[in-house]
Amino acid sequence: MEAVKSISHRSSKRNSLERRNTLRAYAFLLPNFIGFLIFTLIPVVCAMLLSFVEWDSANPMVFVGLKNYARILKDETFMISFWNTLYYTIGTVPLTMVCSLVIALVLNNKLKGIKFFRAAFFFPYIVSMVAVAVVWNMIFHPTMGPVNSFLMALGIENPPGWTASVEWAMPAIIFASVWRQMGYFMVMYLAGLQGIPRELYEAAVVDGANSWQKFKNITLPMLTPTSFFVSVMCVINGFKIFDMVAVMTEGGPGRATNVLVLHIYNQAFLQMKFGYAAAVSMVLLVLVLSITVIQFKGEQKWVNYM
Amino acid sequence: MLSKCFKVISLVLVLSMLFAVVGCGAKTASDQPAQKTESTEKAKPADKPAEKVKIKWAVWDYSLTADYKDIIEAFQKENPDITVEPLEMSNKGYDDKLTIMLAGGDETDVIAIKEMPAFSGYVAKKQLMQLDDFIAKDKVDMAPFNGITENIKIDGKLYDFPFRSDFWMLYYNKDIFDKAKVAYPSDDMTFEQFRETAKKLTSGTGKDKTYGTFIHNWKSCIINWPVADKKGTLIDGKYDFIKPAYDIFLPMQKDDKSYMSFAEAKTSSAHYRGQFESGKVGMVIMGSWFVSSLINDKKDGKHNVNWGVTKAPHFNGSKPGTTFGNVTGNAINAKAKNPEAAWKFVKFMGTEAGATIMAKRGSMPAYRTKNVVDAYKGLQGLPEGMDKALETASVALEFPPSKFSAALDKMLQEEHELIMIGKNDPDKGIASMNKRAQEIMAGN
Repeated sequence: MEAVKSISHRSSKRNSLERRNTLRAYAFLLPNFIGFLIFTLIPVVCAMLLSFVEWDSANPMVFVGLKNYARILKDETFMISFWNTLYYTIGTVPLTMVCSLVIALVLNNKLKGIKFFRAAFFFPYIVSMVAVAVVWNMIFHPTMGPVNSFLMALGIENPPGWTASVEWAMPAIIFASVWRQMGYFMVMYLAGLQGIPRELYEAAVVDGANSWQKFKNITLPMLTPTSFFVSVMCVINGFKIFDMVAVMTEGGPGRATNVLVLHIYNQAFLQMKFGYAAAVSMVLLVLVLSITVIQFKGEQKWVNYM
Repeated sequence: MLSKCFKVISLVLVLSMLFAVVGCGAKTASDQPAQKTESTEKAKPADKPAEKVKIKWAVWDYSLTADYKDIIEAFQKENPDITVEPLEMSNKGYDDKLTIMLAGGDETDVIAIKEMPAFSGYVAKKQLMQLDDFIAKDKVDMAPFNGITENIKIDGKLYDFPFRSDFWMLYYNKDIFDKAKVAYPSDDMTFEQFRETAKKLTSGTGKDKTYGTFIHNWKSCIINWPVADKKGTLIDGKYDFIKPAYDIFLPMQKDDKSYMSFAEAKTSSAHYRGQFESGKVGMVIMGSWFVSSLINDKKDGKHNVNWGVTKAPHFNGSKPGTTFGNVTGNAINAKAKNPEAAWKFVKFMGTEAGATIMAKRGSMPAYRTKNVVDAYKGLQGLPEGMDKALETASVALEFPPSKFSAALDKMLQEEHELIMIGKNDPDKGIASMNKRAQEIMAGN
């Protein structure tokens, strides 16, 4: 009897400890969650409600049902922005992944001053967006920029007009974006690389593997969790693209670099169609959410967790 | 275990980013805190027994425009019971910021109106007070406005009390004309002659390049000339009438190369002021606000251009002095705390007292009595030829107010860009403008 009592006493003590720990954990999460609630979740719900009304920010709202969504289908600028966003994402994601992986591989050596180089590659990510865009606009200047000077020195007579041409404005933005964000993803790859156990390489060397075989059979598979994470983040970043476009081309020339978020901004803050803009942002949400779900579904097929 | 943890973390991160996507689009007026005007009680009650009223004035580039400070000082001297507190904003994004402020229920009393498209929006949203009752009550003489106020009325009511009214003229660099042995432009110049002159003035390459003219990347620099001719307006939705402008300016860019190409000017953010003041551009067609910039910059030693001014070129068959203009005015916020005091300031700035101060600083006041015009002509540093340049045959409004103005304005700029970079020929571009205008006006 005594023994039973003491056990039950002990277990209730453990329960209360557990509960206390859980509460403590929630308490730590709370500040973040409150911020998330106020600045993200509530605005998202508001946007969802807004997408069913017509509202110019001053006159009373008018409930219009699905009219805003129907309008999207007829909106030529939406379609242009949609394809541009897709173009941008398909352009940046693989390029960013390859570039950041290559840099991470190079910087994963024990060299003198390696920390300096790592910081240097990370630097673009923390520089003000506006400064980055202005500098890239100069680099891509059609007659005086270094890129075209170089191309002309190579003997190309009509180098692209970059941000001033319909065909080349988007590639210019893609290059600038890749340059800007690769340092950030490089850090993730570096972390991934340093998590690969040395023994694997040692065993491979014993088996007579060369560098390429080591890279292909050890490094790449061991990095798949990082690659997965990087690809998901890159895709979301791609769909969210706004700042680079807004500063470099403002969506021009014409509508050649108009992207979805820019379209949302223009509709809401220039044309005062807050309801329509909210509907477009809902479409964007569903779009990104479904792509992300697909990515997570495909995860089992290629991601290798130890 | 570790991998599970990693998965969960990445999922959470992904979700939060996802929401951030929408959060961006959804941040509407609601989370923009209304900038509370400082309550008047706060303003040192012990100072004076008389109640001092404080009005806030939203305006762009306050610190760059010397007139504004002079006007506030003069106004406060005349009305010791009112203080005016300017709320400075940057030129770029001025209307975006105002839109959000007003949507958030801001109580700034006086709002400077920069452009017609945004102004039409404020009126449609009932955010501005109509001024006709004030004008009737104070029996303000509207004649010296020369009908400008009629052009900017919306549904027969005035919401914007103009203080400046600029129109476009031709500025030229005498030294470049002398060097090229070309006669100075006359006040009766057609666009064909303008093209020929620009071609003759263009010379050199690389660093020594001299261009005949400079065309700023605003669409107004080109498509507003047919508007000046009153062949149509930019809110008509049919734009075939603007083609003659492209027939002049496109061959100048492509064949004569007598101005820096649109693409180059746009990507290098070339500005008419810097270009003309560098002394490497023969002529610039620009608004009359440029006069005071040129005078003040010369005084400050920023340039040494020997400049002249005359009437803007016109199309064959129209009268010399046919030009277009921009109106800048003040409006009173519908939520103003002190509408009476605000009106006093708006009236002061827009009529004789404010107009004289602006004229003395080289700005072109909207209210033009003989005294005001004399004050302007008495300006130091004004080049000869100014008298003639000031005589206009007709001044068309750049963009009449309309509820579609903002959307049409953006669409026209986009299509104009495509024409200027050679992506679309003018016929195709104008067809596209017409088509998109129909869509916009159909409420899409």
